[in-house]
Amino acid sequence: VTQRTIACALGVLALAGVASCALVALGRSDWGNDYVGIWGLKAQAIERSGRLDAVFAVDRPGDFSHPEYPLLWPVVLAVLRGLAGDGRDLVAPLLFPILCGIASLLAFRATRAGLAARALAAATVALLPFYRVAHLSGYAEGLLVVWLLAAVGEIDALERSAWSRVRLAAFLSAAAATKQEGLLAAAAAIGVLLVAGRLRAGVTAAAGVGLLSVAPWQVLRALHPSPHRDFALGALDPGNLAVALGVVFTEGVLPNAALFLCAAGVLAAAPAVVRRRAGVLLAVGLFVAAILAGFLFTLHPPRYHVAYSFARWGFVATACLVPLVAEAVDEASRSRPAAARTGVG
Amino acid sequence: VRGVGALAARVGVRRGLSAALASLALWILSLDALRPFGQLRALASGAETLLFLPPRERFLHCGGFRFDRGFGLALLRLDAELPADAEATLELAPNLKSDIVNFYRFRAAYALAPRNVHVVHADLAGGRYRLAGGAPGRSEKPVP
Repeated sequence: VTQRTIACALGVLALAGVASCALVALGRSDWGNDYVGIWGLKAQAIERSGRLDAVFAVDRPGDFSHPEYPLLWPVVLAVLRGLAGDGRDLVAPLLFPILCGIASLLAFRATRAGLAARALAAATVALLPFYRVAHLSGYAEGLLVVWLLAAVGEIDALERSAWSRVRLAAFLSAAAATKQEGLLAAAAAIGVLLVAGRLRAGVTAAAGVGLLSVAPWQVLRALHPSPHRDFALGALDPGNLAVALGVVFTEGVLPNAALFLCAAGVLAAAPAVVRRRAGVLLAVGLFVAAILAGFLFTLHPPRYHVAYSFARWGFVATACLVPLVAEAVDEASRSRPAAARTGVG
Repeated sequence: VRGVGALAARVGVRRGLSAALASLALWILSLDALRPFGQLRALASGAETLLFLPPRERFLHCGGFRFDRGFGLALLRLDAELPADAEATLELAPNLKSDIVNFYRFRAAYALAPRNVHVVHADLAGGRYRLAGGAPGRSEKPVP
């Protein structure tokens, strides 16, 4: 059996993942609360008014619309809803499988290994459970993962290509303009780049994120202040960390223990991939650590806050690790002498 | 990859692939294909009315009252009537729980965007609701 045969079979699985995502999204007509109360609401406000600042008018006290969330996803939805005319309410469910397919292709692109391993990454991303939950179809994480997988795909070329550095900066800026978790991921990536001595890439990305995403959004936010907060320094409670870790363990790790153990085992058997991809591993670790640290300062009941958000930020972190695990499968499946001959490992 | 290949060769690649695809097709069918395409149906009937209630339920039970789809229809009508910069007032019975109030509130905001929606708790006999500038909505008697 050739790599191409295996890749074809995995390609079929990836297509099946995208197709089932479309069936799930279009098969339901109920929207998730975060779509109706945040993303879709803001898209509707922008589309109907033609003004960005309309997002602050729909919920002046900021009780449910999260005025602090950045606007790239509502703007994308608003533009497409405007183009779709009477079909505007199909935009979010139709975008869901499209974003799933793009993320799958970007995982293929980001994987530095043989054809079969790249197809494995594509199929794995397309089959992630997030894409089979109908009410998540209008949520921002679908777009966020696209930007982050695109960024992972640039890592290897940063030293030899100025365009790659510009693309990385653009992708991280877009991630930061999509959701706060994107800003956290961008900050983690920039920190790792700077510590690793990739100064040009780190500075370019920091400048892009700061000037294109953070600064304009903070100016707009300052013009429309809102009392709404999910976190506050004064709410610090160290006990929240134990609660957060408990929820992550019982609701995330335990139900998927076999998958996590397999991934950990494969990574342990692929030291070359771990060495080569240490930066991405560290950035994902920092991203998860920053999210968990955030729960120390939550103003919500911590168990509720973690349980409500875990599936989404867990999905973001998992998707970014998929190319690495696929590369590790590729390395671990080769015999060491063969790997030595080909210079891999 | 070589190990996977050897295993696949032992099982029979074609047979294995056929079984995998058949399983996948069955799984997809069991999930969705037998379910009506709700979004398309919603589009045909005015999707926003369906935002207020689960699609296959006529009534939503909350706070001791049950509300029907007339609520969503009232919002749709107001959508055309209210100027874009108008403030809409949503009056809800005072005994509704805060999460139910929020549920109505952001759905009203979605339907009426970009208008701001105030929620007012009014002592409305029978749990009626009303939007400023529109006819009072319809609700049923409290559920015992």
